[in-house]
Amino acid sequence: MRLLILILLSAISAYSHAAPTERQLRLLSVNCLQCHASAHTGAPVMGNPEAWQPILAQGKQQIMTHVVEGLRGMPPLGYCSACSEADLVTLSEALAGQALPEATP
Amino acid sequence: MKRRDFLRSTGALGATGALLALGGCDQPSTEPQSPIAYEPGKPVPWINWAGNQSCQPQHRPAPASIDELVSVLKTAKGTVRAVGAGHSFSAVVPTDDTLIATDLLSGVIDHDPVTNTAQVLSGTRLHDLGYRLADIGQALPNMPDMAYLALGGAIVNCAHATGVNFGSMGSYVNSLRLATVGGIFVG
Repeated sequence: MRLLILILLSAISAYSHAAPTERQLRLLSVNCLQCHASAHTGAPVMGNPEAWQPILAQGKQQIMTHVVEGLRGMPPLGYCSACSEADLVTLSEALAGQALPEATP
Repeated sequence: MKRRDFLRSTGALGATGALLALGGCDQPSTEPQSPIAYEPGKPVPWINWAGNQSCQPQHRPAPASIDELVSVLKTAKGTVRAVGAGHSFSAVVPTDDTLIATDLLSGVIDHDPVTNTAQVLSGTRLHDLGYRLADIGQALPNMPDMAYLALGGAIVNCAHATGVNFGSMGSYVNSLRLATVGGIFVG
């Protein structure tokens, strides 16, 4: 787990958004990556910026609505019962590889 | 079709024995699954996978160790519940008082290579458990057809796989160590 977290930290540090804490990376590993690290689930995969563009185009509030409430294959809260709103924003940004835009472009 | 509507429909199907066409299952829905609307800036609600269970706990600790869990339980207020992944549609989680998230209580604590047993924290997700057990030369005899579940949730909800010779997840348990309100261990 610690090795995975170090790898994720080094990968995420290249992006422009706030880096997740070690606790948030554990939440990412336990919950988010089971779908967002597998191409066959249909979820946009972490590290594939093109897959995230249609989602980022929806804007932060719409994205967070879908993250918290769930949408299609995305379960409410992304299965993360420990996550606060701030956690979910940070984890979403880590997955998307950039900060969530405030408004629809 | 929302997940909870699907559950309701399949429940009706089982009760009546009727053959119903579940129209819309193959059509992507843009409607959120949740019974509670997201409100930016406010504490996020807890919502299960199906969207048929939800609550707004006043306290939502997420201990990362057994010591932290005991500390939380010693001061926990009101009705205290624990939650794993929140995949079950049963009403075992909702409380508006204290909801203890077990996301960070994950991993194998100890194991015995002679008896092929392992002591595992209840928040460990099944998708993670296989790798953890493989590291110590063990594996589950069988497991459900999806790996989203937390081990504790899989046990209390009697999650199961197929095969007449296999029991539910609870049948693989040799002993349990349960931390109760007040921080007292049972078992």
